[in-house]
Amino acid sequence: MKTLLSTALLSALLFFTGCQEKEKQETQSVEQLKTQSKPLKYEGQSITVIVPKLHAGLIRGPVMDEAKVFEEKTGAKIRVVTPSWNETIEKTQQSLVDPDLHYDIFVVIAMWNGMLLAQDHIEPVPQWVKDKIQWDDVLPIYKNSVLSYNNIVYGMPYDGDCINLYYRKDIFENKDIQEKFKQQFNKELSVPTTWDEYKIVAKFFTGWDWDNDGNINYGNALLRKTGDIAMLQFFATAAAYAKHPDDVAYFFDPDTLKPRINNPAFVKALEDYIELIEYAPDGVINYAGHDVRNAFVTGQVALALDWADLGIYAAENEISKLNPDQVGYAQIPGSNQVYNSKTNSWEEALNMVSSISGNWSFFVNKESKNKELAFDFAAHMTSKEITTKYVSISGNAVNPSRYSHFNDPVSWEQSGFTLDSAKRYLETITQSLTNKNVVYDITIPGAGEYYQALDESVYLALKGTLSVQEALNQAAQKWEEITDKLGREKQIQYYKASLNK
Amino acid sequence: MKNVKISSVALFGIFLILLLGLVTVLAIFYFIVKIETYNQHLTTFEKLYENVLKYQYSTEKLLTTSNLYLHKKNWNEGLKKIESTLDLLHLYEIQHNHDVMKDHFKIIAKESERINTILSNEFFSKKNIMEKSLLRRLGEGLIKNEKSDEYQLLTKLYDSIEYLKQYQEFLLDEAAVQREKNQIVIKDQVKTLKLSIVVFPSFIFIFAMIFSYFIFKKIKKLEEDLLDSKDELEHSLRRLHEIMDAVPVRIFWKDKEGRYLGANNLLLHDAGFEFESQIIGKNDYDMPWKDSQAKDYIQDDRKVMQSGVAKLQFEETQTTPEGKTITLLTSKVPLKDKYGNTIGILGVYNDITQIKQMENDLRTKEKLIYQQSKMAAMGEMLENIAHQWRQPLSLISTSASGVQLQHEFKQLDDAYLLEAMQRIIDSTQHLSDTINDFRDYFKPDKEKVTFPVIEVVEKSLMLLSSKFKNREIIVVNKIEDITFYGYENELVQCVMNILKNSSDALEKLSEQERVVILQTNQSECCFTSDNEKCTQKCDELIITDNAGGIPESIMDRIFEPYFTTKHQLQGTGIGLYMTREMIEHHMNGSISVKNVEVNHNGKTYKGAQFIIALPNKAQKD
Repeated sequence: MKTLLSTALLSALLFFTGCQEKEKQETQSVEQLKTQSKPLKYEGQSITVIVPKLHAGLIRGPVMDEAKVFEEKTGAKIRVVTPSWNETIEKTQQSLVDPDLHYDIFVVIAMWNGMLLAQDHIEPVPQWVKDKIQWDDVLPIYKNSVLSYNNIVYGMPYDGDCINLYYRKDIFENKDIQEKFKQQFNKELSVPTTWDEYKIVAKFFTGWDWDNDGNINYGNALLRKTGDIAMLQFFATAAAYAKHPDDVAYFFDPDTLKPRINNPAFVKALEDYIELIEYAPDGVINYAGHDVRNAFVTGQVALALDWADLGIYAAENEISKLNPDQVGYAQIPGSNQVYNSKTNSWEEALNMVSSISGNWSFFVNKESKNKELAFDFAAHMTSKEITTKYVSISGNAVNPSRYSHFNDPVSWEQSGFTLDSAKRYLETITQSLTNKNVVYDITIPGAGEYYQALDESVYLALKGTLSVQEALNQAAQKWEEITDKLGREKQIQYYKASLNK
Repeated sequence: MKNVKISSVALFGIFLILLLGLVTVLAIFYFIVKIETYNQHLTTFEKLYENVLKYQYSTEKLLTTSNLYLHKKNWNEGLKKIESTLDLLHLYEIQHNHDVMKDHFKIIAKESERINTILSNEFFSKKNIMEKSLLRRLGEGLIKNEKSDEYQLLTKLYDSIEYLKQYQEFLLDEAAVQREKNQIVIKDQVKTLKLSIVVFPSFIFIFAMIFSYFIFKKIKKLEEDLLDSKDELEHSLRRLHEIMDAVPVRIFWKDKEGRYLGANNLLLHDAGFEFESQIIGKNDYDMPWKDSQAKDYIQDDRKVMQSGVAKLQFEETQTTPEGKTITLLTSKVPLKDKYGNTIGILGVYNDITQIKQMENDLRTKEKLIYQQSKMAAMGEMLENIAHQWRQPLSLISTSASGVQLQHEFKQLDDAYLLEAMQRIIDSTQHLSDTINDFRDYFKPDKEKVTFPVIEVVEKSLMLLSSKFKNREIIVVNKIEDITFYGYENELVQCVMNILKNSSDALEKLSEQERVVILQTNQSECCFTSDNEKCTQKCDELIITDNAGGIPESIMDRIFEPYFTTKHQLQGTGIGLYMTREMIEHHMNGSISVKNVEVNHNGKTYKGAQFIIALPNKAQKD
């Protein structure tokens, strides 16, 4: 009987083993899928991220790429919505009032901060997130300005923008050209440190083939496309005249919110701006950021104003005709006089101002249903590791924002920099970012409207329809109207909060 | 586990196998239904995916179509299809997924509405609008005038379409994920179903194997136990037969038809058989007593079986194979099955022929003793008669001698003669009365009667008067006027026996008074032990003497026959034996004796006290 029972049990065992072998192959794919879908931290949770669709993969590219990585790692579902620039503003505003439209994370340029922060739609960054993103590594220039509002941290540093001057180092070092410049202007050719110098140099390089490529070259290229972020660059250039080092306010009188944009400093800045257009290639009136970069890296212009993207663009982009050693980096030019808005008078002094306009940050919606996931993903995107990875890769507009980004020039070599050029590049950015006199975007509600109003007036001034003063007066008048429309007292309050006073 | 019944195990096992079978069928059915449901979901998700894909394609085509009016209509239809598919999912209660997709759909619907609003602009109603696709117009606007209303409108439409496409992509993605999940679930379900189809029957098979093994083991054990039990039973039966053969009674058992099913050796011997098998199946008409008692036996058997009541300890006769008739003491009890139905009869009997003979002998002996007792009493009587007659005879003799002497001396006168004759007549009368008294005493009692107890006592005292007188025994008569029920003369003899023993014992006393105290008593509770309910009244005659009492060592033996402490010439040892026989067996009474202390004339004596108790007449009636 025992033998019989043993035989039966053995047969059953063999039968099962046989069945398992047969099914093994069939169920392998199912098992693989099962393994993949093992409960991860955020299994079943999803968030939606809104980030504007800029040229190519600028800003949104890394978000979309890393979302997939994060999804695999955590099991979360990250939906990245990338509307156009205008659509982003519209959808963001709509989401604040429409319960059907909801975004958990806003990836915003600093000029949109006010839209979200003033109405208390953003969750302050909790300590665990600060710890995770190594908050102490973030440069104070960002922490104390665009990432904070009323001295509370809301933003997480994604793109550490600053506007710099890029020049053709090889051309500036060319003896013949240097001689030519000396003959023409009776002084040595050097990298301009003031806008006056800049205008002379730009004028010098305009209208002749200084690189001997058979094409006429120009002095400079700058961002001018209407409706884009041209005004950010305008304010960066105007800061040399209009941003007094002792006055944290720039755009408005912080107590009355009277616009300063039609004061003599801005008038001079706009006059310079219009003049610089003359030293730029044809079509500069429609130049967006990438057009400026293209003009420089293809050898059309000797000078260019751009965010920290141009260095890496020149080094890495396939259309670039330049090698890293041909590119020189300098701080954005200053001025030998600065206007004091408080005293309404000019003061003679070298005024070097850094512009961190156009900075991109991550904000987490206060109404997010999956706040932890949202913060975790934002922390992932703004972490030291991820930002370090992208600052040295072109085409994503992610620029250094941390101390650690400058500590390792060797790592930039992978992007086509030579060690020397990387060092010079980083030194220049460091110089800009350590400047205490700094300007950044309008970060109060209505920022877009303020910029658009000015942009339209500047356009009229560029066309010659209005004089510079008339154009700026018109813009100032529109600003007043916008302020009154949005509520002056509130706007004053928001402006002060944005200054972290 | 050893005590588990095999029937219970078998029932349980079969039940379990059936249950497992049922579970198997239900499980398979359940999985099939689940697969069917998930397949339905999968189909819906596929349909949703297809509809969204078509809608997305249709959305893209808005910018390139050459017939915007017609395409817009189809495009809007696409949205409705998606909505109806989502409603279907809602119907299936796929809540979570449905909520997510519904959220996407809401945004899609709003954006579609926005696009419809843009398309409702009169610009799109121009006659020549479709001469170029909207996409081409957008490109041309970019080149010609970015600030023109047409370009702004087209840009807005383009941006809106781009935005819409992203949410369409989300919905597509969600539908694809759900489709994939459903596929996985279906594969899982199919796998589980396959496994169930294999596992459950295998489990049943294994269980059946184990169960069979267990049952086999159990049956084997049962078989062994059964064989052991059989051996034990056979052994027990042998032992029982040995016991039955050893017991000195006849045992037999018959079926309902009166056929013998078995018997012990003694009965077999009585029936003239050697082996039990010889008697099995036979009835009483096949026995040596077929012509004599068979009919009665069978009738008795039937009565017992029909009534269901045992017939115990009755005497009957039986004819032996040798033709002799023996006496039996028989008991018959009905044999019943576990339901109480009579299935036969069990009988036992004993050959009491010898006992009966002994009883007869004993009875003869008792008669003899009784006769001896009578003779002894008669001797006693004769002595008393002689004593009684002595005085009247002397008076007759004296009177006759005086008449004769007076006559001889011629001095006889008539008066003296008449006086002498009268004395002689009186004396003879006295003699005659005495004879009558004794004659009455020896007259046997024919039936029980009621009589005053004082008469019994006086008669006894009269018959023993000479003895009491000679021995100067004082009789203290405290007899009350009550009647006894029984045989009067026998009671007189009993009382005389007791008084005579007292007299003999008192005679031994030399100096102190010799006293016999006679008392009566009526007791409410007689002839019962301590535990019995008192139901019987009786009349008691108490005879107490002061002769010192009976030694305790012989107290229990004084009623035995031929037991005496007297000299052979003085006592026969049958007086008290006969007394007890007469009181207990003839008159259903009782007699007891004990030593007591007696008070008389202020003095305390020790003596024996006999109590004769007879059932009260009224009680008897």
